[in-house]
Amino acid sequence: MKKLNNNLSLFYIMIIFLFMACKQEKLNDIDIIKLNFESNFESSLQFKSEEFEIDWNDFQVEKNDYGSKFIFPLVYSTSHELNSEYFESEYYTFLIAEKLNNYFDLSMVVAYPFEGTLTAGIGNMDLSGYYGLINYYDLLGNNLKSEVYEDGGLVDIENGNIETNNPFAKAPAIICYHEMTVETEHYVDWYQQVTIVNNGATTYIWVFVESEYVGTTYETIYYPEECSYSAPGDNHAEIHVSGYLDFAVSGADYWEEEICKKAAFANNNCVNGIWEIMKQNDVGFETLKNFLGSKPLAELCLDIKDLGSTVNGNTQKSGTSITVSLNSNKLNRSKLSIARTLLHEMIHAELYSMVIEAGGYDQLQSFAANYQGEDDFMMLWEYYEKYGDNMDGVRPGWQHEYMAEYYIEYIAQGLKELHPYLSSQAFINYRTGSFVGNSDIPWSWDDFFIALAWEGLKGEELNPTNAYQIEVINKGLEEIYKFYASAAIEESSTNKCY
Amino acid sequence: MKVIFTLFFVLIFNYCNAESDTLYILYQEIYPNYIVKIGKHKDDPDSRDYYPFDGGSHYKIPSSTGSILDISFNFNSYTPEWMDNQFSYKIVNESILKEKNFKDRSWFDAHTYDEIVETFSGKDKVIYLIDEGQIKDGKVYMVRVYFSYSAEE
Repeated sequence: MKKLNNNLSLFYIMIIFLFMACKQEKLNDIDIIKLNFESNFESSLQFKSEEFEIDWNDFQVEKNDYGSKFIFPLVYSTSHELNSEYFESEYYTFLIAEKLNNYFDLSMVVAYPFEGTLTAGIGNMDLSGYYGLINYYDLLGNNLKSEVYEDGGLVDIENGNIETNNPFAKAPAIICYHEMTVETEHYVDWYQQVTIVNNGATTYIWVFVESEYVGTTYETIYYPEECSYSAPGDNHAEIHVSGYLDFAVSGADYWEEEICKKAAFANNNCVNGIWEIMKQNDVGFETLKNFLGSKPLAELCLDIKDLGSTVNGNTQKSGTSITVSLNSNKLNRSKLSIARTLLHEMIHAELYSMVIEAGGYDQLQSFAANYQGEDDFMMLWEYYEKYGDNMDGVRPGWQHEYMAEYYIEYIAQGLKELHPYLSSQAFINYRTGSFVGNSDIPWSWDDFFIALAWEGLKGEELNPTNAYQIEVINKGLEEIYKFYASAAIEESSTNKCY
Repeated sequence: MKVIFTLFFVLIFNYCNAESDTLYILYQEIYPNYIVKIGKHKDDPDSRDYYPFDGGSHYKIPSSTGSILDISFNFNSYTPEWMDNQFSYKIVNESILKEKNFKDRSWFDAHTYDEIVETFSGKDKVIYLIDEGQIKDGKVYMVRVYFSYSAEE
């Protein structure tokens, strides 16, 4: 009897122990990493604590036979300047925590993609297809090692089995000390856009015209003492960049081609398809240009992330680049609603980019006062001064106020243009000729687009945006617009992005 | 002892991974206009015009704090085949209210907007709603509803 009681006690203890373990494992890991980082990190030349933040809820976990690897992307503030004379293009920084036998080994990693190479997955530390340099540092900023990747493969620098090309030659060899001068001839490869109309469908292709030599540069690079390789052609190579003949290309094409897509976005066929249709119709470009004049300023990247369950998307700036992210948990919406979110976030990005151009919020007022162009910057400053930043539960913030006042009709116009491509014919037939709710108000597609445009710009129940209060609530249109917005979920599965 | 341990691990595994996908709501209307009637669609072949065949309803959730965005549970009684959110219902005895874990007004009052969204969002969730005002003679139509809420951008 006593033995049975002992076994039962052991059994209950194990239940409690395992229950606690299965409920708390992930939380403990992140807490330990955070504590470890905060205890051991020191500002250094490469990593200044005041210049970046880590979102401890935004991470990836890779598991292998030996343990787990947690990857946290660093989010830089606008004040950060790249500490490299060799790389001026986009780069990516991560905190890596490798867990082995319940011990965490923390390091900082910086990925410098070579100019002109595809970097689709590097934002998530996916090295497949990656061309570029990876530098590893400890938490004190000491360089531990450098690696070079070509097409996702680790280049064997030590044995010199590399046919060096210019991107490789430009690698900042922090642990290398031998000098070499690299001679680079620069060419612009000119292309011309050709329009093909076939059975009413218009497509565009780029046709190579010529290569134009524009000059030669000389760069000093460094390589490891023990390396035996040499640059290809000894130290000579060519770099070709694509150029587009002005008369053949629209401003929209220029802007859209510059927008980068992170791997998660590029690999989502449904969302990517929406973006391609927006590009074909220049909807993003035209929406931004409609109010802010000549051309959009924002240097954009598009991404899809897990943003929880209460936001459709967000816009974040890192240095001078701005990333628009769609929430992976909120893609079970109609394609038209997702397009609306993209338009909405792109306007945020444009407003952010204007603030960046002005030198930040601290400089916005003086920049606006001295600005020689239109009054856009002064208007931004006035909104910022009047409404401040967004604060959940308190105020929608200056950007939403500004957008609600000036962008509703342009967003609605953009949605109207996309509607034939993104809405199903079944939904169009179902709603055409119907009525709004239980009323005798005939369904209006124009009002439907306006109602969709208000989503995300109406503010909260107790804190509506000023324009929503005046244009919708005060005019008794709130319930009608809510009905239109809810009707968007009636779409078919094929016209959603699950 | 081996059997006990095997059972134990199976139980624990299932407990850790189990997820309830069916949720029940008892809708108690307190404020007027929080049940919005959809109206009969022009193509609806069903001639019945009483609940729940009269077009459908949006059941709005009053805010306990006043600061939340729109939350509602919706159904249309006419749903063509192509439509995702298909109409379905069951006629049940009132006693089901004691048999299942129904979330009522007090539950919504006691939970934040984020908690409500967390509870009901997800494409695998199946939500049934009983409209308290529709209970007659101990029986009621329990309709499948679809969660809708405004998200921030």
